[in-house]
Amino acid sequence: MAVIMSEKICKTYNDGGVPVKALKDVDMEIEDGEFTAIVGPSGSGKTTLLNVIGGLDTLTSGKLRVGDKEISEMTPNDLIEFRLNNIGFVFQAYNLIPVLTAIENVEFIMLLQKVSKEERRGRARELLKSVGLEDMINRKPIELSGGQQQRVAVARALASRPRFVLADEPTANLDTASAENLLDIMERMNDEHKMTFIFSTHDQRVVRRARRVITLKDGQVDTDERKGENG
Amino acid sequence: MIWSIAWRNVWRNKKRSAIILTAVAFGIWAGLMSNAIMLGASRQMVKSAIETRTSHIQVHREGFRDHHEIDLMIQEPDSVTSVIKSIEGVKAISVRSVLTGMCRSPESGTGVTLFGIKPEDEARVSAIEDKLVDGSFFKDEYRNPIIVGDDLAKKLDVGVGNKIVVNAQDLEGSIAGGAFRVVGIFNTVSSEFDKSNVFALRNDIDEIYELGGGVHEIAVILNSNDMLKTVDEKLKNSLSNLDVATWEEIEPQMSILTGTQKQMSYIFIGIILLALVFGITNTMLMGVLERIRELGVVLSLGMNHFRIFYMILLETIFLSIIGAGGGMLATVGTIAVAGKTGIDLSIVSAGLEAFGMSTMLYPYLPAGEYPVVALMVVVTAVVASIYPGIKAIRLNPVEAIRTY
Repeated sequence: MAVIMSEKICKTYNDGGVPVKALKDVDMEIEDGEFTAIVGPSGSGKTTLLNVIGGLDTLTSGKLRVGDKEISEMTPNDLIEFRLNNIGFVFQAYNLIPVLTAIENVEFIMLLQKVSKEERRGRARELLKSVGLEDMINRKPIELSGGQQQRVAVARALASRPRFVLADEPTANLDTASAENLLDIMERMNDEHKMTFIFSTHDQRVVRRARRVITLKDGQVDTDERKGENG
Repeated sequence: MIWSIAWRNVWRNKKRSAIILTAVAFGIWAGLMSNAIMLGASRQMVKSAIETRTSHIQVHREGFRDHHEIDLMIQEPDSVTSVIKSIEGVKAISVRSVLTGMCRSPESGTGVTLFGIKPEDEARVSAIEDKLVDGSFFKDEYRNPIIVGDDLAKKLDVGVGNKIVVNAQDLEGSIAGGAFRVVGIFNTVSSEFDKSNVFALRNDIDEIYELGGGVHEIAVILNSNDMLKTVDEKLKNSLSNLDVATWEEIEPQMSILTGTQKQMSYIFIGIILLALVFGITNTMLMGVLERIRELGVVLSLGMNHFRIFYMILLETIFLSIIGAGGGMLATVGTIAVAGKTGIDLSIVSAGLEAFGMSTMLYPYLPAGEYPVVALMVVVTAVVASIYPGIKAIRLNPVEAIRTY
C-alpha cells in the first residue's frame, strides 16, 4: 500500500532572480515499510525531494500525500505538527543539541510531544540501548565520536515513533565501520518496527543495503529499481 | 526541559554572558545607589527640617504664617497646650514667641527671626542644643542671653560673649530694641537657617517687646512621623479656630520633593533599563545568529514557534535577572556599609548646606523597592527578547540547517 504518493510535484527555487527547477513533475509512490535510497548526482533534487516529503519545504505545484495527509495543502503551522508526529529526521551533520546530553537529545522530541517524564526517560534509555550507547547516555555531543553522535541522532529520530524516517546523507561523515553499524541499526528498526526509511545518499554502502533505489536526474525520476524484483 | 535548555544556553558563551551580566549588574547597582543616595538625602533633609525649623506640627493664629504680624498671638495658650498634650502620639511641645526684626552688631546688620523660647521645652522639641558649636544652651548666667547661627555670627563678626542688638516692632507698632549677649553659636545643616534665626528666652522677649505674655507659635514633636496624619487630623478638629499645619504644609517644596522621589527613582531606573535593553537585545541576537542551524534543527523536529520564542524569552530573562540580582546584592552590601559609615560629601558642603542637606549622606532604600525593580527588569527582558525571538521563529528550517 502506497503511503507516500506524489503527483507531478514541482519545486522551483529563485536563485538570485534566476528560477531553478529542483523537481520537475515527479510522480512517485513509496510503500509502507520500504527501505529506500534516493540517489543521483549533486543538484539532481534528492535533498529537495526529501525536504518536501518531510514537510520542511513547500511545493511549487503538484500534489503530495504522506500517510493520510495532503502535504501540498498544509499551512506552515500544520507542517510543524505533522513533522513532530510523523517524521523522524537524520541529518548528515548529526545536528544534536550541544547543550543537552545524549539521553536529553533523545528525550527532547518526546518533550515536544508532551510525553510524560517517566515515559520519556524510559523510552530514551531503551532507544540508546538499542543503538549501543547505554553507557554514554549522560555524555554531551562534544564528548561523542561522529558515529556515536549519528547513532544518538537515529535514536532521536525514532523517539517520536514516526511513520517515516528521512535520512539525508546519514553516513557521509562516518568511517566504514560506523556507517555499517548505523545501517545495521536502521535495517533492524525497519524490520522490527516496519517504519518507512528513505535515504538521500551518494554512499554506495547505503545503496547496497537499500531494497529500493530511486535515481533522480535533473529533478526527475530516472530509474526506480526494487531489488527483490531483479533478484 | 526548555527551562534547562535556556539556562544552559545562557552559559554557552561565558565571556559574552559575563560582559552583559556585568553591564546589567552595574547599571542596576548605579541606578539603585543613586536612588538610595537621593532617598537618604531627602530623609535627612526632612529630619533636619523637623528638628530645627518646622517640628512635626506647628500651631499658629490664622494668618500668622503668611504675614508674621506681631499681634496675631494665640489666645489662652495654656488651654491650647493642654489640648495638644492630651492627644496620643504627641511627644513634646515648645511654646514660642516669634518676631521679625533687624539684628545689629558694631560691624554689620541683617534681618532675622527672633524666637522666644523656654530652653527646657525647646530642648525636647528641636535639636538646636545639639547643634551648638560654641558656648552653651542658656546655661550661663547672663542677662538677655541669645543663641545665633554660625553664619550669622560670621556676618555680624561676633562670638560668644559679644553683644548684639535686635530691633523689632512691639505691640504698639513702635520699634523696640533689645541688647542681647551671645551665649551660644549653632551650626545646622542649613546655612539659610543659620543666617537668619536667633533664639532668646521667652521672658526676655516678652519684657523687651512688651508682648504681655502672648505667644505666636506652638511647635509639636510626635513620637513618630508615621503618626503625622492622625495627630494632624485630631488637632485640626480640636483647634478649629487655629492654624494647625504639618511640616508638609509648612514646607510644601520639601513635601513635593519627598513625595515625587519614588516616581523619580523609577523613571531613573527605567532610563537605565532602556539603555540596557539595547545591550541585552544585541547579546541575544548574537546568541540567535550563532545557532541558526540548531534553531533550524529544532524547527525541523517539530518545535513550534511559540516554544522557540519562549526559549529565547527565558534565556533573556535569566540573563537579565542574574545581572539584576547581582546589582541588587551589590546595592544591599553597599548600603549596609555606607548606611553606617555615611558618604562624606564635604567637598561640596557649601552647595549641600544651601539646600539644607548634611555633608554626610546615609544612603537608604526601602526593601519594597527591590521587587519593583526586579519586575521592571523582567519587563525589560521581555522587551529585549522580542526582536531576537522574532528573528528565530522566522527562520526557514531548510535554509537554517544548511547554515554553518
